[in-house]
Amino acid sequence: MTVQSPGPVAPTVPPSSSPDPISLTGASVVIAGRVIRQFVRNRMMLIVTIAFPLLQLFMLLAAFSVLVRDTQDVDYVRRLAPLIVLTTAFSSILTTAIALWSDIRSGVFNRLRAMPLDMRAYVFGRIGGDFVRIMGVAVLVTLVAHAVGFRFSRGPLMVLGFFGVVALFGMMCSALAVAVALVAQHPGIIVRYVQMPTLVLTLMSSGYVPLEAFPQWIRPVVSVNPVSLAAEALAGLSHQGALTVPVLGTVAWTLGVTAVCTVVATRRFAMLVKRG
Amino acid sequence: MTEAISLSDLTKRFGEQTALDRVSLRIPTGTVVGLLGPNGAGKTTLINCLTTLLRPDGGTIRVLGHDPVTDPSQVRANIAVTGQFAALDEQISPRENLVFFGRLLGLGRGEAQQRAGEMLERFELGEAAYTPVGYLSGGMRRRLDLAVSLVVPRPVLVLDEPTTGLDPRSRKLLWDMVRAEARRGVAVLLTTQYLEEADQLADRIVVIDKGRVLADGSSDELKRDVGGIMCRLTMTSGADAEEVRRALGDLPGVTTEGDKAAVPMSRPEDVAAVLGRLAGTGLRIADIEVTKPTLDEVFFALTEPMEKEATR
Repeated sequence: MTVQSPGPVAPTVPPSSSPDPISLTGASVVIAGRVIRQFVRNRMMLIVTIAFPLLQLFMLLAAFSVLVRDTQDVDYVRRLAPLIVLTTAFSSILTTAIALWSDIRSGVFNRLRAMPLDMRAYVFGRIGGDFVRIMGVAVLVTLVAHAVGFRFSRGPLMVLGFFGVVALFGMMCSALAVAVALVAQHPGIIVRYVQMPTLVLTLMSSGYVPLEAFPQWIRPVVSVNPVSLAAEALAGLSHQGALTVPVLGTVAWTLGVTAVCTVVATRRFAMLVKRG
Repeated sequence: MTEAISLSDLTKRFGEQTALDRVSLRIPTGTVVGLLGPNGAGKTTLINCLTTLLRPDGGTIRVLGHDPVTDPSQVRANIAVTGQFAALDEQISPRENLVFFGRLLGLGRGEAQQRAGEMLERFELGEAAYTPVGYLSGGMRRRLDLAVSLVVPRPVLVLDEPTTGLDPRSRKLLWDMVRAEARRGVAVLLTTQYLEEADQLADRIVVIDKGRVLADGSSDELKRDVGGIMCRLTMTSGADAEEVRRALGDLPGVTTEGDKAAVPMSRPEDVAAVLGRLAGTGLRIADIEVTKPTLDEVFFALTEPMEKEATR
């Protein structure tokens, strides 16, 4: 039996006391908060971006610190710790990009598209949240490294410079992750084009071993590698070493990569938001 | 009564395929309109055009006077949407989802917290308030999905197959919520594949298939238009299906199945003709029922001719 609904007996005034739409900045902050919350809740992400690099730090120190001190006359932790800080950002490009890729295809993104919201907030929030995460992890890893002998020996200004370089490098990683996620047709492509290159760049850097340890012919490649430049800059800012070339090199890489990624990402994102 | 949603001649094509073919439809405030159709009928396309997610190829749409094509932000500010698939962040809790979307819809931090609490209670999600959404049952997710859509009240509510795959309790709760929204003056458009749902919930039903409107009216009107009355017969057990078909098969619109037959007729007196047909046979009637057709029958009567047309 069907119960005939009584229909609109006395329609009350439609609710119209809607709040004002949120500002672009406000929305970006709310979305960044979600990115950070997701990271903290995601055990896999924590392992990949924190536990794994720290494990690497301890293992390599245990294996090579004596050897390096005897042959090179340097404390290995001073060279290794900066590199580990960088790998926390570098290795997260893959996971961040995949997470972003699936988020854009999830119902959440469509719900946001149907809301009175400046969708640029989605990208700004994403990058902002990523940035906070990268810096937080960097500080954490630096503190752990401190416990095993890593030291800043050039004063507080250089400490700021140290984290400034980490910030530049992190911004480059974040821009790459966003661009890759927006361009890729499926996650397999992200794995293919991110996993190997990041691994190769990390291994082929003057982070684990000094430039002189590489064969002559490949040294030019190693020395312009962004990971080498940033690692050298961090080593210089924390203890000793050249500064001008590594710092300027890192700035150049960051600006270049970020500019290209911004152009690519802006175009793709506009398409994804419009769609249809 | 004011018009909350009006579509006229809405057309949308995907390449060669026409997903919506001059669809017109009006929803006054405080009414529930059910959009009924099989998979691929164009229901979701219609909703995507209405909610600014897709750009139509022709026709006009007005949501409280605003055009989704030229003024999408005004439309978005007036519509609450629940899509076909739960649009929730699986890694965070129901409460956090409600606060997240509430804040993006313009609520302050405290306000969003307070609204989240109210919605959790209203949708009976209190016990799961802090569990990551990924661990919730389908019914709970669907309820949360609607709760998120209603966290900031809007004058228009659009629901795409809100109860597909739901347990009876969640379905009842969702129905009650939709009715409550309509009573408050909200215009509701909901798509469904369930005839019962349309029958129960909708003041008006629009049947669409292959992008075209086939019928538009109240449940009773549709039933009247299609067949007037339906005479349902069940023969005594052991009746031969072939014999039933032979006796009644040539009556217009008749369907037989085993020892059962359903004969559409325009006047109750026509029952006599059916009984006359059976008199000379060995068939004995176990049960006879003269009723209005069910919405299912209306639906098949409306959609099947099109299928025959398509396969010809």
